[in-house]
Amino acid sequence: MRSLAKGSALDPSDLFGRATNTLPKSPRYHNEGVIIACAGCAVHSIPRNGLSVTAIKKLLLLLCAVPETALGEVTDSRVYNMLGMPGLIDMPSAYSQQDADFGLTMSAFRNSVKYAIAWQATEQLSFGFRYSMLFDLHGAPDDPRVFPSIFDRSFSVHYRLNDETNSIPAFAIGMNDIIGTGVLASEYLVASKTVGPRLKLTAGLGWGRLGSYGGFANPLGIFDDRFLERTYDRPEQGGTFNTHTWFHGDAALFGGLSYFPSNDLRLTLEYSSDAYQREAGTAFNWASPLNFGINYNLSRGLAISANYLYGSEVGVGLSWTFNPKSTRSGSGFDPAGQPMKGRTRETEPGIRGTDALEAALEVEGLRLLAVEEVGRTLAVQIENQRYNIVSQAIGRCARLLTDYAGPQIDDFRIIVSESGIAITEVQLGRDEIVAAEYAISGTTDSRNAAEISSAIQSLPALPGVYPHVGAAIEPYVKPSYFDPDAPLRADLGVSLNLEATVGLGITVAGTLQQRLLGNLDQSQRSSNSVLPHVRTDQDLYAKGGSLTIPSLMLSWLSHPTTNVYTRLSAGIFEPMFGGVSGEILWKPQVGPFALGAELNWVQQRDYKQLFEFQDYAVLTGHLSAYWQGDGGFTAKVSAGQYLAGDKGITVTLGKELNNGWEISAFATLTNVSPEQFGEGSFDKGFNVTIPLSLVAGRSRREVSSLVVHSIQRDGGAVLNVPGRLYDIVKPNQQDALDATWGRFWK
Amino acid sequence: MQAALTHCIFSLALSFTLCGCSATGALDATRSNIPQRAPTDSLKELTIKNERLNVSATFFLSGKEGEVEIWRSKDNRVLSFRSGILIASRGFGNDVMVRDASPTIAALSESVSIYERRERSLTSDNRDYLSTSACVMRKSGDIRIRLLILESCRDENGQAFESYYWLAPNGAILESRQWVGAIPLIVKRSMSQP
Repeated sequence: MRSLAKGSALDPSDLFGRATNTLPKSPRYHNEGVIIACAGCAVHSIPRNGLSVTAIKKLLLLLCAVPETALGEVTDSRVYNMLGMPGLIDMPSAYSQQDADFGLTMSAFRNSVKYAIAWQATEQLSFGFRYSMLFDLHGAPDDPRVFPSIFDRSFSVHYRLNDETNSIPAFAIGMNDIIGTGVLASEYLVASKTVGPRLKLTAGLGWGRLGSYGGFANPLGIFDDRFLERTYDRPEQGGTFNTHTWFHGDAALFGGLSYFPSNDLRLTLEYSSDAYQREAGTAFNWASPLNFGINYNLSRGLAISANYLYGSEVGVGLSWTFNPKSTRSGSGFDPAGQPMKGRTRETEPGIRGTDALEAALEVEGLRLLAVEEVGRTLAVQIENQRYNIVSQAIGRCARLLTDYAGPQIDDFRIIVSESGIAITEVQLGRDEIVAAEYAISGTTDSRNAAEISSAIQSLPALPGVYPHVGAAIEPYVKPSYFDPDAPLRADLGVSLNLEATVGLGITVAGTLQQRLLGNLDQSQRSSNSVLPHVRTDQDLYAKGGSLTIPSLMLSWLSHPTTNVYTRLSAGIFEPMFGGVSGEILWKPQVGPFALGAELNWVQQRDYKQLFEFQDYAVLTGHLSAYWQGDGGFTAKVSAGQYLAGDKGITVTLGKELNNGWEISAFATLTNVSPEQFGEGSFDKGFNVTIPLSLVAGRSRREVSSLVVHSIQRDGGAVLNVPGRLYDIVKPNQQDALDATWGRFWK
Repeated sequence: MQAALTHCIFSLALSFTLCGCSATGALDATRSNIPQRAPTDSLKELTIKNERLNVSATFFLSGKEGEVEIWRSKDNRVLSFRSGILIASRGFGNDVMVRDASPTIAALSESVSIYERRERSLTSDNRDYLSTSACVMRKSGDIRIRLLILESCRDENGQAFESYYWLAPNGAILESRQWVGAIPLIVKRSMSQP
């Protein structure tokens, strides 16, 4: 074991500290005066050093560069309003969070609690989703009824139109509660400007809620009289885009100022244009448009706030912001791989022991399936069991091959397999990658030394490779959200996962779960759906039994031509359905487009989730088009028949980071009417995929996926089939390798 | 920008006062006396200390590839050095994927005192990031006893960091502070196995 000095910890990540992306700012390391002083000295020795004047100028510019924060300017990012969006206290501002920031917020004052997720999709575009628990309020400003409670899900969008400059403020436009009941609906145009190193001003024009105090005739009325009136939905409706209300009705001015006594402390004075017409007099007593707030950043993205609101109430807030593009673990704490080794003449020709290579690869989380030496090329076929970024798996394999291959070998051919089929092969020039290891241009050099292509043919498998059986026992958590009786329910238990790869792309996989504790079975939300209950009987499934088989299926995958992949599956696919499933995918190694077709015949499972089935059976399937654009933006359009027999189209838009973090929003419109669909009108929601490697700080293949439906109903419901081709193929292809090739060297 | 320029001009003015710069430079007296650094094959252990956390670990020489020495801890962290200058790390989070040590090596033994240093790192989002730092080197002490060399660098984001190198009379680096991301590492070569 390593020797440790005082204060040491056993966790290796603690030994050298969690990585951070900024250097310490203590005076010890920020001695600008000394640096510049010595730069000044150096100017006099330019002729002897042989540096060009241009080079010296460049160096001096670098040396003179002072970070903005060092000048005392503060930023307004990572501060949220009570809706969980960029803003002041209850009003919006024109600022944004940092690109890819993910903010979780909670705010509360009398008879109002809001939980929100904010996501900075681009540098300028922010999205928000919130769950609000509102009590004792009118359904609409003109609705005399008082609802004891409204539990509401709503979405917001905020777009910063321009960057702030010395003379021009930042402008932003935004909308709150754009799909849903409209309880929190508002629209705004807002400007924010830094007027001093520690003072920022915000002023805006609002509609809807933000046009309800001090309102005046809508200036947009000059374009169309219809802008002058605003109609209000009732809370029992909802689920559709409220386009008929956007920027309609009276408008009002709002504004405020933020003062930062220190970088972590913000004091805010705000003039609110929300009269809280639904709540005033029932939920709380509205007495003033002025709000006062204090916000303090505790550490590492955690902030608290306290506000004095509307002349009568005290509110509190809590927020946590993190950025998946800039995690504390940096590029990860993976143990180092073996160094690249130059050719040694002492090595015997041929590979130095297949068994030894197999063992060495196993240590690196790679399974050796086949080895073949043809001429001066050594080919290996591997299965990646550890790395969520495949280029790292290829790099780790290549390092070992430089050690184990004989000196006559000039090239390595690494074939990457997944779920029993060969997907991609990477041919590497041996000497080139060895030379690139310590080159500053090593990433480019090694990529130039690699040829990536589609691998149709597997190598002859080594003896004993198949069948391969893997088993794992692990805990599981099965959550359920937004039940009005208990917004968060969950079951906990233990899961036994089995997978046997027989060879030729054939795999048997299954899961057995034993529930240990939880409260999912206490839900009393029985289905009122007029459609076949393909999803809304989840409470009956939760009560069905404690020992269940969520999945058990036989799959056969193949890669028949360069760009085509196929799958046939039979068995139990998910807790509610089992049957047979076929899929074909066209996806080239390079290019933004892919096409897929899937057809399934499935029957609904018994609530006990063992081997019995109910009578309901359906043919379901979709044609899908996939697109992956620059900047990680993704789109998918699927058209076909859904589980309840309804026909329609699903559109999914998302953004994916190079580390596997993905967030997407989807909406499904089918031939089911809003009345037949029920609450929510149509299926919509969002999906967050979090690679566990980012949480663990080390490479892991597992991901955690969270799918949130605005309302889970039976219309637009999609079958869940494990092992869909697009998810298997895409991470192993050239586009993904190119985007992450730097990790070849990790 | 105006504030930055003001700051820069003020610092430049201050520099002449503090450094007492001359056309020949204060470093000249020592430059010609610095011998080539001695090989370090016989030294099998490095003590690496995280200066900020005040914790240490021992690294062992696990191999050499050309001029590069590869030092590995028992928990499989690796630090690679060229002529005593850290050029790569693995297992530290925000690792140095590769650092171009040539300018620092030249500055330690030649007449260069201001130079650019390049480094390749990998972001949390797996993007290659090539950064350039502007560095200046100052030397003090007597090479016949022990020479302290300070290397002050600032990267494109304005972040400043300072490394140091204690050199023995034979030119070997006895102790240094070098950086892996934001982690200051004190590198001490064991003298128990000369």
